[in-house]
Amino acid sequence: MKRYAITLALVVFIAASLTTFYAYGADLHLPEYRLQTIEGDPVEAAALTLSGSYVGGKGSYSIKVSASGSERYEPSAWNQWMQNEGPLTSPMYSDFNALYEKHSGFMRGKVDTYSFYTDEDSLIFAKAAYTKGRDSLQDGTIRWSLDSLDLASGKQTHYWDEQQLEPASNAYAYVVDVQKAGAEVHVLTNVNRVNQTNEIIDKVFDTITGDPIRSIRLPLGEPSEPDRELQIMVLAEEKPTAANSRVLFLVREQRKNGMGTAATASDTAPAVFSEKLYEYQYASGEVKELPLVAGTEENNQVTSAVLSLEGETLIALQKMEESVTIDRFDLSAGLAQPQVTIKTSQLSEKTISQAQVANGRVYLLLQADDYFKNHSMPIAIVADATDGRILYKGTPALVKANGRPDDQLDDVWLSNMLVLR
Amino acid sequence: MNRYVKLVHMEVHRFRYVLFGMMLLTAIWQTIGVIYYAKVRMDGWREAARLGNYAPRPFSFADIIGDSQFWFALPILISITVLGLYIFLIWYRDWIGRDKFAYRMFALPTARSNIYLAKATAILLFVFSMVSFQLLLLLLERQLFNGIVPSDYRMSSLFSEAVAANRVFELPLLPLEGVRFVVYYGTGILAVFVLFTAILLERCYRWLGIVYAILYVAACGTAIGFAANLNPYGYFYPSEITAIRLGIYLVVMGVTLALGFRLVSKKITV
Repeated sequence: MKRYAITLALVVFIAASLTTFYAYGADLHLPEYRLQTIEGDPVEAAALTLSGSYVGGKGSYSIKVSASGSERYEPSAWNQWMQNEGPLTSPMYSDFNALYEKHSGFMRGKVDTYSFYTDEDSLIFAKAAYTKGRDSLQDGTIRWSLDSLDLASGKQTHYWDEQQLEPASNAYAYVVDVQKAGAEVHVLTNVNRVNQTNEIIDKVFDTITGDPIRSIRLPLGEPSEPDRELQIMVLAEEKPTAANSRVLFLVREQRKNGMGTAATASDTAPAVFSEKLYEYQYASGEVKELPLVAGTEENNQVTSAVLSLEGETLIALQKMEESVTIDRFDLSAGLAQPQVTIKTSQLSEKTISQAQVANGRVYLLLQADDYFKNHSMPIAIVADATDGRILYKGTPALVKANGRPDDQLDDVWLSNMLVLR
Repeated sequence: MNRYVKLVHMEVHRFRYVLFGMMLLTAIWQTIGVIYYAKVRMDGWREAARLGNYAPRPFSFADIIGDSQFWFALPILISITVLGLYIFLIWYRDWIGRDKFAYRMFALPTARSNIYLAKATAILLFVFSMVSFQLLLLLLERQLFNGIVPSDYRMSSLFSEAVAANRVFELPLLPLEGVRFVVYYGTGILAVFVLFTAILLERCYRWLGIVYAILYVAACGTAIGFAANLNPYGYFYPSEITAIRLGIYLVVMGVTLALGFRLVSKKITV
């Protein structure tokens, strides 16, 4: 036995050190936090997650905090490789998890968020792809393919169609919304071409036979000058799989990139000449212009603005430093609802760092101006989008120190907000 | 089993001075790094205190490890290079030299697969010995740090923070997640076996064997590369990807061992 002393010693040494390290030494002992209710209904915070970094001690570690606790996440190559759940866990949309679980065979390999439609009868996935011909300047083809699952019988059908497009040296197409209207399925497709106005095509198929019925290029206007282009922003239903009989477009006429007289880098944003809002009804094929809904209080500079379509309501959220305004427009009645304003003076002395609208609620993240200096915790607010009533107010709080010294416990910077739709 | 253990010990015994030499080099080099950077930090602290402009933040052992990236990385890279070369030398040294040791080794009354496994085990023992030694050394270096840096300048840090502070530790050598350790070193173990089999292909078929060996390594690399690059947003679900990766790993390992055993048992010539 003595002869093998070196080998034995090495084996024991390896076993002891690696076991001890991974059992006791490798844990970073990050403190645990939880989003705790200050006032209101904690259920309102279920869709809310705050993210940021823990910077106590040496290094910086990404963490997420929600009402159920905190967890470390690392957007590293390792996690991309090893722990990525792919489309199975969507941080944005709750209904996809159930679809992948329930219809795993049909959903296999289908990941484009805005390409799905589901109702009680069917689940539809549509795809659009632009392919160049041999002479890319002469011809190009857009190909649509659809997979449809009958939820009652489990029968899957596949259908497709192709269409020649105007020549373009560099173009690509993708689906922006899928909806069903009666026996028709509409595949709304955005075709982008470099240095040209993007084009919106509604490709319509028969849901029973799978035959292509028609293809409509939506008339959303033309640039008024040769050096201008239209930027078309699609406002489809907020929840991508949900049904909605209409889709909206915010069309902005602006100077073409590279054609301005920008003197500095800050001047490079193209000049905007006009903004129009259009509504397209899938069933009737009607396109009509809508009034632009949002208006802010005087002397308040808007730091960000969001438009959102939830069912029959268009919501415009505008964020200023110390207030947000919510304008709601009932599309079926054609009526603008009274503007709702939420001010920080109602809530705390902090400024609004982020605002989102989803699920009929307004989500706000409030920070103290010097929060990086003082490590102060943000405040999360959930308000009713219809009347601005505060439904929930909460803040991240320490739950467990995990052995960290006291002076490191507030070294957490939570500056982002994620809302599950 | 007894023969296998004896063969492992023989290989360890043959390499012991190089192994201890690498440990000594690592200890000396890293200790100099810790002392040097602790002194730099202390001088900075004293200078700031003398000028009285601001109160400097105390520093931790993890800060020093973070400062001395190069001093920690260099002996580790030297050790990796030496061990990498020894994967080849552990076989070729038996053929090269005044008396071919391979004659005696292959004449031993034991299954020749034991020779293959013993050499591989020895390489793995050397690798894990160096990793374990690094862990022990970090503990000793922390004691040294506590000894030379006055408590006024010092703040505490976790052992894991010290490990995470150095890129060489955190990325390939001592990942903090146990799963990552298993994947990294599992791939490394497979690489050792693949190289062993490639060496045996060369030893069995000589010049033609070099071509076989290159093709074999390329085939194994392609299989593992394919497994590593499976996209969770593609056709397969994440659980299926994990199963495919594990399956490909086991198949490559199985084929490599089977081929290696066959070559060392039936084809090898001295």
